[in-house]
Amino acid sequence: MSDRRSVDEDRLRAVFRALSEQRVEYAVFGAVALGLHGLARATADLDLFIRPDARNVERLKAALHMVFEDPNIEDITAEDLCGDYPAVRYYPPDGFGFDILTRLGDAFEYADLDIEERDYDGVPVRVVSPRTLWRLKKDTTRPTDRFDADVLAERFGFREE
Amino acid sequence: MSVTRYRSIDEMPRPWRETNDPGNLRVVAQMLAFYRGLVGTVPRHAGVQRFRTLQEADASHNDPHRR
Repeated sequence: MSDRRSVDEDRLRAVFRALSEQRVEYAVFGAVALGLHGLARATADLDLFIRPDARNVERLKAALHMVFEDPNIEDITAEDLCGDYPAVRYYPPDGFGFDILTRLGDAFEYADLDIEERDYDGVPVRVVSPRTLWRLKKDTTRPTDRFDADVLAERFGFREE
Repeated sequence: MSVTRYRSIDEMPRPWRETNDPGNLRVVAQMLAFYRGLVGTVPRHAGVQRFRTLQEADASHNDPHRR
């Protein structure tokens, strides 16, 4: 494998650094979290669960502005994320996209997440724990989520309580 | 290299990496790029979209007519 970093890796590192610098309260979940826990699979987006308050949404926007020169970032609003639209998708002009979430149905809110703080060669990353990731995925209907939940249970020994 | 046989794909060991492997971030970036390579010809909607649920957002991924 080449030692050269890809554009995506540089951007991923820049995003996590910016989130840290802006003190955004967030946690990575979804397939990227699965990859950070050790099992990589292809995915479209970086999924971010964020604390639903207006100041945190502004900090998230400030972090995205540090990485992307894109006026569309201003279309991300606390009114949506803390109101009727708890799922917002943002695609920058190029590169991977973001799914930004403040709650998952009636089952999960930010306060329910167990979050681990990791360091990847100096890049701080907040990611949901394997158990939280399993809980987020195990009761959904999407086949890929069921698969992810099963392999997490197998790897970490999780069982239904 | 020897050959290992399995009766189904479920029998194959998962290619897990160590949880604290610093290379995991690089692998994740490769998977993001890999996905875009697979669907690279599908136009995408640059900017912000809002959804009432994550399921609604997932469904929009599968809409062949999405901008």
